[in-house]
Amino acid sequence: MENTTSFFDKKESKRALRKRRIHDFFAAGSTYLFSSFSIIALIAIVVFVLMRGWNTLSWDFITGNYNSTLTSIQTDDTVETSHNTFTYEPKEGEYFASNWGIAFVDSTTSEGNPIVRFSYIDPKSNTNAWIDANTKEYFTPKVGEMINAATLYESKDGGKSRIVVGSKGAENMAEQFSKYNYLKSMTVTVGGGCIRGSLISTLWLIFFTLLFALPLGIGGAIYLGVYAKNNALTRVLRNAIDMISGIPSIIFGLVGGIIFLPIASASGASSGNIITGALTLACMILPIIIKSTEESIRAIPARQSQASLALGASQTQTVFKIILPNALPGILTSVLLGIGRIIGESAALVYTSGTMIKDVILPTQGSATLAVHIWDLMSGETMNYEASCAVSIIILFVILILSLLVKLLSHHIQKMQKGR
Amino acid sequence: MNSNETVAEIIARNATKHSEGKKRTDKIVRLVFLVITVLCASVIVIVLGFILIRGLKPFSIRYTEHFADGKVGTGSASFGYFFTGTLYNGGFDFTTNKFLYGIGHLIVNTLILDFYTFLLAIPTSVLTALFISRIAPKPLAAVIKSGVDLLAAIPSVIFGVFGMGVIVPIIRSWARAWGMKSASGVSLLAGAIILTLMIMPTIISVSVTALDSVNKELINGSLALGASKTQTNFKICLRAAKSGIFAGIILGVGRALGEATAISMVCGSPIQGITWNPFASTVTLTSEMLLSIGEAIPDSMNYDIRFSVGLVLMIIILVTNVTLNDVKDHLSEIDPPPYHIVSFARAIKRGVLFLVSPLTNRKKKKEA
Repeated sequence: MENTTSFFDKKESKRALRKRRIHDFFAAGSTYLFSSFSIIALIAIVVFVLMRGWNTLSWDFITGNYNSTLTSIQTDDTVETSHNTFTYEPKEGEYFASNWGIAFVDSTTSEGNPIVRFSYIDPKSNTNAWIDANTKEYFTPKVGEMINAATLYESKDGGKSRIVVGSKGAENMAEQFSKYNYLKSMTVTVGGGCIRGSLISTLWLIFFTLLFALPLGIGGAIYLGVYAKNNALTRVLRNAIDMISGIPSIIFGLVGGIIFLPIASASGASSGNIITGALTLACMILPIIIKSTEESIRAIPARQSQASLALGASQTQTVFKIILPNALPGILTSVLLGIGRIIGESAALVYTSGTMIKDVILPTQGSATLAVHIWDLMSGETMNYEASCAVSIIILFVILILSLLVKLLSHHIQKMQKGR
Repeated sequence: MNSNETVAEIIARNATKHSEGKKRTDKIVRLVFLVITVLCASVIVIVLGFILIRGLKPFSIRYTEHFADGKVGTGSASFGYFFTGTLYNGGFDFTTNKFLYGIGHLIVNTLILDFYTFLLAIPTSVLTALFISRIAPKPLAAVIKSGVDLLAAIPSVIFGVFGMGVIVPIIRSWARAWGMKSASGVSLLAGAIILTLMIMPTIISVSVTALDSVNKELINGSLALGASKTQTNFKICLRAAKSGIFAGIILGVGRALGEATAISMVCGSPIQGITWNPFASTVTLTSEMLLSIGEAIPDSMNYDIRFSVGLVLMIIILVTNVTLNDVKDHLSEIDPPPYHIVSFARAIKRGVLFLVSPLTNRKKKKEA
């Protein structure tokens, strides 16, 4: 009798153990599954942005203007332009004019209107006789530039002429170019869609925001880290500063708009500008600066400031000559975190520094930063993934470097704390 | 100089003079730093004050606006319609001389979006935090943790672009495969997924800290009693850290409610009414505030009403924060409630409990 029960017990417990093992396997497996989710998402974002944006990203893209310029082209009459035959295998959608050695492709302008672009220009093509009508310098057409209109002639001294316009499509244009051997004039849209202006306005914004936020933030951190006693006032101040980071950026945008815009318009600026944007963002990044600076002030060994005081230095001298230099890693961390926040911010800036993408950047005028540039590209009728992903690559790259630097600095601060 | 003084006396006098001067500068410098700190802290007061004053302005001041059909309307915004209306810009009511701006549907849609978000975000982030803190081998945990940190640093516009380029097409194909109607994939679900990605890092990092600080004796006790490692992780660690995890969730709620750019990109065009369908497009408080801001003229009704929307958003954030903090305090009974406003939240909760009490009583009777 006893034997059988123990036998059953063993069987029962084995079954229970197996059940538990299966249960544990699925429970632990679920954590593996879910934690891979965030990594997959991160990789997906990076891969998507790289895939869509990499081809657009180039030095020209970074240094070029957003607004395109219309260039009218004339031809040098003395140059012979005829009867060549070039060979080229047109890809799908391309139309080739063999006498010119130029291929055309259908495209759209940034506003979404149909236009024709150069898709291939033979290196030996007779385009070296083209002259910019304004500057009287030779004009070299590049692949990707848009052709608005062209006036073509049958023979050198006039004869039958024909005007072709870009809005009628690439096939029509290639056909007409094949028929006529002489070009009288042409208007080409050069450049456009690049980000130099937004990049510069981002840099201005970072500069002004830190200019406003750093003195205030560091001052606040010194008070809280050095002078503040543990009393009700300190607690209220601390809570208030913590609460700032809980306010959504769009609210900052609204309030920044109504507080700073009247000041800006009183001083002559017409609407939101980079400085009003910077003032708004300065308010937003104050808690970041105060927190990380105070942290590094607290990491300074007490014996250092005590030694300074014991040697007869006043409290003020100690703050400026001992505490501030030693808190530098924390201040740098806060600057880096702040820059990361400024680069990515869009909702607050839409209200305070405008959404217009510009090429000539003045701090007293509104212009879009890189993040607002993306927002602009994506909120239009046609979404420009290529350009916005290219801008995203730049932003992600900067953020990656910033976070690596922050890691290094926090490692340094931890070392300091250990050496205490 | 007094000739009767000894040299020692002169030195002493100079020293005190010197140190008195130093003390005075110390005091002044301290005061300057205090003023700076108060200035920093006053940002919150200024922001809340301005939102409050400007948010109430559309209801108290009369605006004059010219309409397309040549009519001219003068009046303030209708307070009742503001909260009950389901059309954001309902035009002008000439019988009562009120502007009809309704955000009732925006409030509900915002809450629905956050509900879906937390349905996705809470299990994902809590399990990820558990994995990082207790299960993963150290190098793997470090990799995932830095990945999560990077995810936190990505700006919301990029999440918006990613959502439009990847999530939205996926949802469109799902909707087609399941025969659901979807506005080209721009939907509530896309918004919830993007928001989940955005708030996950916050919840994860706070939860990891909470899980790391779970008492070792508790864990060892559980293991000594014969519980398996996984059982200990799920039944001891998670429970011991629940108040910390909840703190992370509260932070996440704040971020989710206030997010604007990404949501306005992936959630779609303005709609009328409330939607629960995850494949339908939706519009929230924040995305409505961002929409067509370029066309709004300052000091017009269309511009100023956005402050009222912002005020409502702030109130929602405050109320959810306070109530969730109250819940958190109940979860971690040891800690005393840190907020004074908690009593107010408790009053609301009691009111709700009172309203629900007939239901719970009936249940108890049935059980009996």
